[in-house]
Amino acid sequence: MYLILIIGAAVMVVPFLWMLSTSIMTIGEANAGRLLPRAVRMTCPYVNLPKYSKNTVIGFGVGPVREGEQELPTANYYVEVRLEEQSNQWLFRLVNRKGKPVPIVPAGRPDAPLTDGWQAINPAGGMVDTGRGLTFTFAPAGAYKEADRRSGAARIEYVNCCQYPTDVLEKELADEAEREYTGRPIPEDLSNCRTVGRKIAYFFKEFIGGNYHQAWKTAKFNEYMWNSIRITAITLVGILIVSTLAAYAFGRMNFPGKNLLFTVLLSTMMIPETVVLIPNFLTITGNNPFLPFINWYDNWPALTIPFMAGFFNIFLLRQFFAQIPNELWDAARIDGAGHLRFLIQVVLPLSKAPIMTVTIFAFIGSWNALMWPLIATKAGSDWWPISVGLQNFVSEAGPETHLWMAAATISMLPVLLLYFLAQKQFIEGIATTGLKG
Amino acid sequence: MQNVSSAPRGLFAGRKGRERKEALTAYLFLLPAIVLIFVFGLWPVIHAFYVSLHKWNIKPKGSECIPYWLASAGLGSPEALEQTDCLGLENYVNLLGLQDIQAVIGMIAGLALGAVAYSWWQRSRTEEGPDRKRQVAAGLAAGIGLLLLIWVMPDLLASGEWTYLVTAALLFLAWLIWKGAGHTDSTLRLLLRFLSMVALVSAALYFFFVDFQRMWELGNQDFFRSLIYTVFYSLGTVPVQLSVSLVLAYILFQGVRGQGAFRLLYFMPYIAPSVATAVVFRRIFTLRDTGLMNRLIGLFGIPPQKWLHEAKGVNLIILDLLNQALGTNWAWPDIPDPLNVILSGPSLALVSIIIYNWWVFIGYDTVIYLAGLGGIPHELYEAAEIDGAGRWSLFRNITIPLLSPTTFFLTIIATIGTFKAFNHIFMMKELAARGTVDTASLLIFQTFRADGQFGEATAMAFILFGIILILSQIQNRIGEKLVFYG
Repeated sequence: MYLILIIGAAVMVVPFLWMLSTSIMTIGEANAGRLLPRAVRMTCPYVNLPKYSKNTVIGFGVGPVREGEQELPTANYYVEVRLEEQSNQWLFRLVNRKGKPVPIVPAGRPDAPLTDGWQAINPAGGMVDTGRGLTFTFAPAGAYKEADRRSGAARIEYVNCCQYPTDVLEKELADEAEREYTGRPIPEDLSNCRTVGRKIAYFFKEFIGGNYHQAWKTAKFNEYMWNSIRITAITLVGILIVSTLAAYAFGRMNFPGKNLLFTVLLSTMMIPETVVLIPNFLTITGNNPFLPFINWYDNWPALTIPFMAGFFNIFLLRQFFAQIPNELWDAARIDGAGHLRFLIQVVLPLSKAPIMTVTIFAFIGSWNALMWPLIATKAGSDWWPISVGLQNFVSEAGPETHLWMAAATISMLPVLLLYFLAQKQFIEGIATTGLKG
Repeated sequence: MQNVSSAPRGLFAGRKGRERKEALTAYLFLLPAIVLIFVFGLWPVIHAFYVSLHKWNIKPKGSECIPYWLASAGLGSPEALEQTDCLGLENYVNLLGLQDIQAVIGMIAGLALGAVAYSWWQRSRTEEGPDRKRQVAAGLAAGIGLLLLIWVMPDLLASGEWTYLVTAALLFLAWLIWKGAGHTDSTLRLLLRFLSMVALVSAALYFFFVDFQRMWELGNQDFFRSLIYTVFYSLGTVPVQLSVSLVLAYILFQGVRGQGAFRLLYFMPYIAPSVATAVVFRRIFTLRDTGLMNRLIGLFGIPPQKWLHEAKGVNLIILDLLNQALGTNWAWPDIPDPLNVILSGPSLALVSIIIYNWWVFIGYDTVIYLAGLGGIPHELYEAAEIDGAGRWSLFRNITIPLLSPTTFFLTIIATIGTFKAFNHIFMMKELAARGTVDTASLLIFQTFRADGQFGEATAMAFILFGIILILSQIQNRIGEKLVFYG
């Protein structure tokens, strides 16, 4: 018995856990299909090769670090060359981005102390090892041009993708994956890889500084989140005002045409969204022949006001309001209270539970709405709620699983937080209305 | 005492006045709701029908229907006649592949009148003897219906659409036999019910192979496909969801420790925004060998599948797998299209979405079932246990019948939900699935949004609406029979 329940619970929870775990992986780990990110991170140095003149330096590469020396920090480096007039000898030195010379192991003398001065280039060309994790290869001296004084921009970078091209995917797949997913070259020789970062520090760095930050920044999630909060808040207030008033009228007042009106409004619950979609689009764009002054397209009223027109909330509250004993109303009337006062001071405090249910339904509905916001806003709108933002992010970001998962986590976090805080109201509200409906 | 408290004069004076005042207050209270629901809920239905009569691309280029009709009737400016976007019912004709729309409408009206006549006739047989007025009305309705049918019969014969009548007749026959079976004794009843089922099945087959075949050839195949996919989606989700969640709820209800925690976890997929969870499942059902789902089936020795990227029907894939496993070389037979679409089953992409749907709704259904189980009086179980009923017998004879209102409610909610489903399908849709996950709502959205065909999209939406209405009517009827209320 317990086994079935636990399996069920596992099935329910595993996708969430998988999402969380993938959202803190690197792209390599995510593509390799790991279930958990590495607790200890491997990094490899690699050299990124932006465009550079290949007249003097024909290649850069990753090299070993000489014992006792520091590896070059992650930055851009340039090889400067000049012709010494007297000896007709080509000289070089390594400089950083600011043009400051960087001390390296002298060419051809692996044991000598570091130097940042000019050194001679072998006229036949060949590889020079800096002894600090970077190598570069010179062309034969005949090909040098006077203009290429400062040649090449190489950068050493640490990528966290070591295990993905080699241990998991085969070479072709890795090449494809590389083109498709990162655009970065992947080091072929992984012997220089080493472990850096321990569990906790790595976790926080990646969690806050890594994928979440990237997803949040690239997709303007701060804007979407704020839009969703605003839209949901306006919708909620609107729904609560409109439906408590109407539910009170249906539940506690008598007026001619009550039953007819109730039936007519009730029948709107049957109408699927797809039927009213197009006319509502015409209405908010000012194409409704009777309401030509409405021009809400791509603005907040279009995203909030149509959601206030649900009869379900009225129906739900009415059932509860009608059960409030009449004696209360009689007592209130003797005290001189009108309907509005009775509603605000007596009925509302009594109906916290159903109002909470309506709030939850409205909140989820508004947060989750996709079809209508897609239609009621233009591409790249300033009013995109988080659902549309996520949809757009997913369709534009390419299949970068780790970022998708981070984005999905961001967008479901507020709802899940609320759910864990008010789980009792959520579950019981929905369960009881389910039975009555 | 009440008279004393109110002011003696004015519009709101006296008992009448107070009622008037209450009515006025009530209308004021209702005003915002009525205005909103009218503008965004009711009016759109009328407007949508009007739009569905047009060939609108984004905005009407020529004149609309109303100026056109006015001009054809000799009112208004004759310019409206020259260029028009007014198609009349052509959108519906093109979608459904009808030929003689007037004849078909006449036929439907005739049949509907017949049904109305029958129900009036039934109701006229009260206990105080026959109600003459009702009988006359029923006779009249039947007569008009028959006249209509006879009137449109030549057109139906000419267009070959008389075959709809055969389906209708077979359905009617099935229903008559079923009804008649209720009055007989048990062996004959069994036989008659069997006969009725035979008639029902033959009606369905006849409809499919004759009527639907023609509609398929003449109508919009994308639309029919989307309807078939919607049906697959419904059939794939609802029964599985309900049975699994019933079992889970039943176990949970046995006073298991940690019931609250289980309920909390089960409910989570339903609460989490479906847009976000669909993104997660899109990556779970990835085509990579290392994807979560491919690894899971790998545990059972099944080779990796393309899941959401797979447009092939699931039966074809099963055949492939069988071929691989057994080393055989069976080929899928070459079947003409509407039948092939059905026989090859939902595409694996749609199956993935169906699995997602299970994941989301099983928890919800479980919670509702739990609430339903809480409503069953405990004495019933105790009494049955005293009578020596076993566990299975308790479940079979008490739990299931007493839960039938809940089951009924959930079935309706789930079926209508699958017909309306949009968010998660839209999020999980891959281009490689080549439209095999486009259920009706998605197709409508696409026709409207990507193609800008307002008229066609609304016509589709109306047909879908009609199907939902008919389905819920049928479910209601069946529900009345099978649901056991307390």
